[in-house]
Amino acid sequence: MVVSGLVLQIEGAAIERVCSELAVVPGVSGLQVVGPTGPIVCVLETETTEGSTSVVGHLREMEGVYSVMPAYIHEVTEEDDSCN
Amino acid sequence: MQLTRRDLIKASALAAALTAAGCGSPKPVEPKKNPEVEGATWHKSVCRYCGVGCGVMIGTKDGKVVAVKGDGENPVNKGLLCVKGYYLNRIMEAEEGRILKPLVRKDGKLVETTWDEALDVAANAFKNAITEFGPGSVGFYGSGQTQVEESYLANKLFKGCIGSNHIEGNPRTCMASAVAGFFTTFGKDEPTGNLDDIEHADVFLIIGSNTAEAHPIVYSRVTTHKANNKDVKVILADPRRHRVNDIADIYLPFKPGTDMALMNSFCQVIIAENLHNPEFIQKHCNFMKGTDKITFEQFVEFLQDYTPEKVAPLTGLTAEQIREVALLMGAKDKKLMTMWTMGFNQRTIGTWLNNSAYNLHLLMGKICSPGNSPFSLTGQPSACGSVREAGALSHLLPAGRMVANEAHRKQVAAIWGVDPAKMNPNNGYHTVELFKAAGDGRIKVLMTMCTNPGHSLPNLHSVRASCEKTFLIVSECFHNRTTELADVVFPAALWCEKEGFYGNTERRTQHMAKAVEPKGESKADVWILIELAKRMGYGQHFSHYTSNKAIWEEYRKMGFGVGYDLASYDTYVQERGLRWPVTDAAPKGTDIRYAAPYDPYVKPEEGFKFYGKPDGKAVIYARPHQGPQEPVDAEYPLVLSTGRILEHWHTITMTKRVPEIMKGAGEFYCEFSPEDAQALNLANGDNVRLTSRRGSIVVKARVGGRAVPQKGMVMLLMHDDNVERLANFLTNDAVDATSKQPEYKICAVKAEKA
Repeated sequence: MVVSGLVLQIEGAAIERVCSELAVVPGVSGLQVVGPTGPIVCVLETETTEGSTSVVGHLREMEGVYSVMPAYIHEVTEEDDSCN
Repeated sequence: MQLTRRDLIKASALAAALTAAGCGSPKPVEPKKNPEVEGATWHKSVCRYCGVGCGVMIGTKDGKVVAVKGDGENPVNKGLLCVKGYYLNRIMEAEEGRILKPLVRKDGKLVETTWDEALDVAANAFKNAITEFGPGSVGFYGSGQTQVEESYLANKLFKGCIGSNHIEGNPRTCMASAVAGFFTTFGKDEPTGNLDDIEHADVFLIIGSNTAEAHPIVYSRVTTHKANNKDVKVILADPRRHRVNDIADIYLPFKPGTDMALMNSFCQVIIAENLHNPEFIQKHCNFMKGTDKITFEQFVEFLQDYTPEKVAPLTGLTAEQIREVALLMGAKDKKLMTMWTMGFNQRTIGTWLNNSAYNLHLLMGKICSPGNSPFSLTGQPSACGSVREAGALSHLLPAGRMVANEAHRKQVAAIWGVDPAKMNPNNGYHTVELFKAAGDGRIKVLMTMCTNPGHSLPNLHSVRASCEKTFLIVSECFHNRTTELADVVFPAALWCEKEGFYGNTERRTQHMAKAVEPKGESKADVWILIELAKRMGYGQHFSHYTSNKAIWEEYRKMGFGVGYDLASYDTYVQERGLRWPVTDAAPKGTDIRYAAPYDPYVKPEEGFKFYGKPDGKAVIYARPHQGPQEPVDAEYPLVLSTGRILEHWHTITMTKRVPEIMKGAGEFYCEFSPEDAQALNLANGDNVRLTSRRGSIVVKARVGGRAVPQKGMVMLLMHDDNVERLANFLTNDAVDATSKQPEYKICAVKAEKA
């Protein structure tokens, strides 16, 4: 599992629509809009890093999205997936 | 409440993203956990790729890099990374193509050997050539991706010990015109301002730069600033409509090679409309045409050939478009930031184009104050720190000194502890000439470090033939199109397998920690250079370099008192970089040069002082329009430009090792305008043969992709490393007369469906 923190820069007028579209992208969670004109931040979980690249590429092509910047990446192995 | 480790990592991921987005207190998630709790150790570093110099934190566990994240405390990127930085951990994991043992060519094949043998073979090749043909028979080709210490030692070995000034670096091919522009205008290299000017500017002129893909974090800062300030305007001037156009208020698609006329036209309008600053000009500027001093009035007369009406037909723009942009930039209450990179630099008039950007700002006095900033974007992570500041080009010595200056040679020799009489007073070969010399026998032995000239240099058939003729020693982490031509290959440590310094595009010097041990038998380039020096008989000049700190503390003496002052090693280990000059009066560095109260070299009563020039005045140059060295004609009717995309770095020696990047952006192509594609009967994905006077390759056509060149122009990605399709088989090695930088950005080609 790959966990990424993303920052999306978007056109101010498109925030609502982009948020709606993001909300249904598999693996995206923790969606938050920072300020009236963005950016949007979210967490992306994918099975593989290939998957995360694919999703980031998809997000970048969404209308109204200027850029998608990763702020964090961490691979979680299944055997490590617990801290209790 | 039971949390899984994944929950904690998700919380950390969101916290990092929020911090990067400027919101430090995320509410809906768990507080950010100390990574140490997760068992990782975090190391402060800098991204391996472009010249922005983004801070990264490298997480290691059990001797391996397990995570990379943007450094939220680093003021350059504030935690953000582009997709290349995002996958930095993957290059550290890569095994395919990694060079793990020294290699020596025997019976035509590279075979594994010991360090002792590889070093002896290389050292003996150098010694024999020097003995038989003199010090001028050996050379070195370094990189804006080496660390400062590495360039410093190579410079000392060749210029200080051997007596050869044939030491170059790939910044000659990306930033030499910027260097020449700075030196001619200001008398000293590197920008007046810094990246924080972005948040102060009202108007941006982005010209000759696809900032969105080549400097994505800079683009993100411009985008954020514009989103937060509705009056901020962005002007994109570029022959190719690319992603920066997404945020542009005005797009000027000028014809390739006409930007000098366009820049002059802006100046003409600004003066005609009385938007210039006579007081600033009178106090702080001189005017020159070539080597002759001229008056303001003569400069105005020179500009009469560049009225918008005269320039419009040449550029393909309208006079109204040119005038509108000039008035927007010239508005007296608006702060202007101009950003450019290879579109200006990689030209046979690259120096002049850099001058033209300074002309614009100097005329209006829109310089050396927050938000008023002509800003040259650097291509590589340490072209500034390692090559320009360290003086590792064939005409330079450290800290802005010149090899042709006797006093400079003596100053440097004193710090190096070498005999100044042994230092050559003549400039060495520039890059294009160096490789020609390797082909015609003038250079018998050539060493390259952290660069891939067998892929990256223009007129590449000639360069590769030269590499095969000379005795080639290569220090490199991964196999590439240069290692296959080598006689000796040293396996070099990669990025965080060693410590060192990088200097970024805004004069910010940063320390990078060693995070993991080098793979296989690879070694830091510092070690390689010292071992080589010892075997060549110069050990006494290198034996005191027992640590990177020892090298740094000697190196920084070069900058004391000459405007290139650097801080101590221990300071940089703690700081997220500092912009030089760093002095006792400016212990946190200098945000803006040549102006009080920012620059410690300028007294408060002086206001502005361009102290690189003897009279303290910057130069506004009358630079005429001049077309490309190879214009289009009936036989070769298309303008070819080359460039890169967001996901890849240069010759993909590293990024091709990241499967995720290759999967998402693994196909390389040549962009066509819809009109040219139609005329050539090309559809997206068709094979197309491109032919120039120097070579011919077959590539995929891209029509209607992320960027669209104008009619009559094609844009070929530089990345593809297939030896049948190297972009530089086509490009022109004509150089700028001053900077000696090649004209990658314009040559003439023809295209045929293949």
